[in-house]
Amino acid sequence: MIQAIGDKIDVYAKFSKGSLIPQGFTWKQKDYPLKKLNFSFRKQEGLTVLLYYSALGETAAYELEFNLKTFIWRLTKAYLPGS
Amino acid sequence: MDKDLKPTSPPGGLKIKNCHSFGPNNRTILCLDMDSYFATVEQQENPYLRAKPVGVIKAVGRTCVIAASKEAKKYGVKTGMPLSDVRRLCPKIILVPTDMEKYFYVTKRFADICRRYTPLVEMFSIDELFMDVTSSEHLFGGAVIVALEIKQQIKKEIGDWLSCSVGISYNKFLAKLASKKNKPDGLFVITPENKDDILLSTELVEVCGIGRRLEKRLSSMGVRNFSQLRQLPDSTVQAQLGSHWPAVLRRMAYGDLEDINSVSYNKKDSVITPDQISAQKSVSRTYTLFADTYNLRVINQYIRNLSEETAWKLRRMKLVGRLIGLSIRGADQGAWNHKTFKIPTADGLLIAKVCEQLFKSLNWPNPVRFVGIYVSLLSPNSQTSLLPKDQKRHEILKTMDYVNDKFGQFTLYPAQLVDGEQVKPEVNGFLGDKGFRILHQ
Repeated sequence: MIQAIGDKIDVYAKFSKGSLIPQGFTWKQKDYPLKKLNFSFRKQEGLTVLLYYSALGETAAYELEFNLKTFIWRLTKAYLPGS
Repeated sequence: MDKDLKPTSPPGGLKIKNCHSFGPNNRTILCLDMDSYFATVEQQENPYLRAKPVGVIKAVGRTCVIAASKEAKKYGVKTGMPLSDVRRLCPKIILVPTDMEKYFYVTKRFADICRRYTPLVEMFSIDELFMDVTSSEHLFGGAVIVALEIKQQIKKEIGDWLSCSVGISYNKFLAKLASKKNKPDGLFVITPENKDDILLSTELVEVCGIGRRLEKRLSSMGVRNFSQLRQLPDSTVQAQLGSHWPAVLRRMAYGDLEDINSVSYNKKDSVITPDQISAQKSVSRTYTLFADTYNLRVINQYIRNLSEETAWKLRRMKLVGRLIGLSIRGADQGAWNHKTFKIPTADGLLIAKVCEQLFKSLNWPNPVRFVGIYVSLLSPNSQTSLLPKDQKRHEILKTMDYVNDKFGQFTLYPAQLVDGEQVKPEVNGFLGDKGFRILHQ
């Protein structure tokens, strides 16, 4: 099942070899560590660039959005097992 | 070169030790075709979809599947199949809406990987491209090594669930056929030596250029395979299909068709055209409505909406066109009409007004389900009108483009579209506007 969310989140990330790799995030005061980055892509709305990261957590996979203009992270989707 | 890449003989007929250009034209062409592209990208993004039958639909509310995962294909699910049939064949299918921008981002990334091996990369569609490695393959150990490295880099850099099939040959027609011969995740080579065996065991519809309609017409002439196609007299082809076809089918029958683009059938040389703007023949935008409509105001809103996007793409490519056309479908019927002008344009308002008139002249009796706008007879936009009225219009369009480029499409739009469904620009699978996409995204 895919759940659309859209909430603002706090993210901790690693900058390595020219890449930004999210390591985990805090959502509703709970910590969600990320185990593996599955996929990333970017979109552009006018001059605003949005980076998307799909990563596997402990109980679900998540899509995070990073707005390069505002520096705001959002949890955009949760991919739940058994879909 | 990676240690895992062993240049052993892949399926097909290549002696790979030193794969340098081969064939009568001394060329080496690769055709790279991503496997079950849209569905595989979705499976890459969402690991819980992997190894499951996935169907990609245009949007919630649409009635057919536009792509299927390899697991869904095993159930017989095919592109374009109505959802009712899909659910009957595969009740467990998981339907996912498309995200064309995401797929096109992946397209650009695998094209970038390919450009590390040659600048002669030509996009064919959103999931297929051609590469001419004739002059560069020796730098990498041969065409097969190039293919294996690309396959490995796609997995490493974009996603480990993604795979592609690569065909290698000495022209685009055969390279494309080779790319279909060993799917998924395959590699196949067609050489002058194995070409006849491959063609004679290939169904006519498997090759690019022979669609179901042409297959049917050939079948009515008693031609069902390449062997029979080779024996078909040119005079019969000309009588049945017209003067264009004898030469094309003759070359196809022997695998000597250098290009697979129908407009280039008569070209003798294989052409890889990295400059796809100059090769652009027309600019268009089509849209299938969610429901049938007879409402003229709504139809004119769609015409205006699609005209604005077509004109915007023309302006971004610095092109103008003299032929404006409209295509309409509904109730299983279709019609189109066009008008040619002396003065070329890239103004959405003008294009829309012409298309509204064209629609009126069609006397369309059915509901409308599909609208397409196209502009052709293109030329570079090198002249500016001296008339004050035209100059004012030019400034308005320039300002509108500037605002929309900065804040996103449809930040500013014509008032005619205020209360209608807004169809925003998007990539389509055929990548018909590839010149525009490659240049500007």
